[in-house]
Amino acid sequence: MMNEVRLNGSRFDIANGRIDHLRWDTFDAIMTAGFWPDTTSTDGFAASRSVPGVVDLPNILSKLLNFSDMSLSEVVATATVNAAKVFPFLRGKGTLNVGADVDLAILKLREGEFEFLDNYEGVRVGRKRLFPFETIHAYEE
Amino acid sequence: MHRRQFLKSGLRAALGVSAASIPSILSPVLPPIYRNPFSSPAHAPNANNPGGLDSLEIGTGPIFQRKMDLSLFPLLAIHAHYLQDPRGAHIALEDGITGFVDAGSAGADNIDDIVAMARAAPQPARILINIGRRGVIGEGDTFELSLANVEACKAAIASNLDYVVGVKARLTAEVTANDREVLRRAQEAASYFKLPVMIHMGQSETPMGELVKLLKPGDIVVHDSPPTTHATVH
Repeated sequence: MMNEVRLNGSRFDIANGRIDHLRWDTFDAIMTAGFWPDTTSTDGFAASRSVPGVVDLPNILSKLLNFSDMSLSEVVATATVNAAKVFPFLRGKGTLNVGADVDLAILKLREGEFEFLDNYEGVRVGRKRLFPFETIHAYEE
Repeated sequence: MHRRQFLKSGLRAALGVSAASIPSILSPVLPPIYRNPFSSPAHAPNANNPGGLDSLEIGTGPIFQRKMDLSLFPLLAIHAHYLQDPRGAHIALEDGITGFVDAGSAGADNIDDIVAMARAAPQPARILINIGRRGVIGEGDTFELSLANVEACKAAIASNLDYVVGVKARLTAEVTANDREVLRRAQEAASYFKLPVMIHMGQSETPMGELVKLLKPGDIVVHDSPPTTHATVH
């Protein structure tokens, strides 16, 4: 059913927001079924860092990295090239191709033990976590 | 020191690279650099990064490139609410977000304020207008169906075509009086301008399987993993 909707051109975003959105058992069922998100977002707002289940977009990407079969490049695609296809103003962004804007998030992929929360106080420990380090952007309008 | 020299020396210091190794795509004008306040100092070796950040290569072709434990790519957030706060866009930038969409924080009645903030954002920022004319409100964006006003929405889009990139419909049961009708109205306003609709799913009264039948190509479903029968897989 949902695959038909996707084939018809609708996009699905995992959107791990502030409350009532993501629970690990549902997340597992979706990932086991292979219904990977087209895009990944956070519902992010100015105070997201203080919301334990959200923190930042790299944290949400890290959940996919740790608890699904998606590879790093497949996870990254959900917040880069895939996201750029959704809205025309992002066309040409989301890549490091020749001629693309010099917009870069520099993330550190650290290994260790990191806690990841769903929206229902469910805690999991993952071995990898992407951390935002610096951002370079050349945007002018 | 000239601004460009200052920035360039700052990048060298931050990344620990020599002048010769600064990638050519960063020259001659080096863009601003935003550091995440919680990131560790660039040169500080630690258990997870024994060598510190000793080199950096930026290339072309793939969507991202890795050297040591670094990943580099433009990070795009198509569903956020950073424009609810004047600091939001800068905080997003510190977190790596180089472009984003504010998804329905404002409706027709308060679109001007949020467009002004989008214009002021350091990175590309656009807006999904909430079909609820007052935007996100505590009582529920469309707890009164009259708040989902198609004509007001269309007029606001027409006045801000350069910044409105779609229409947002939040369909949680506590937020709307009638999810199907609100989605229908969102589609009516969006379709007039050939724009997509983003639906906020989760705990809606109507099952997700029914609501997605009302979508058109290019529309977006967000929050697809809630613990209800409304998840994409259950």
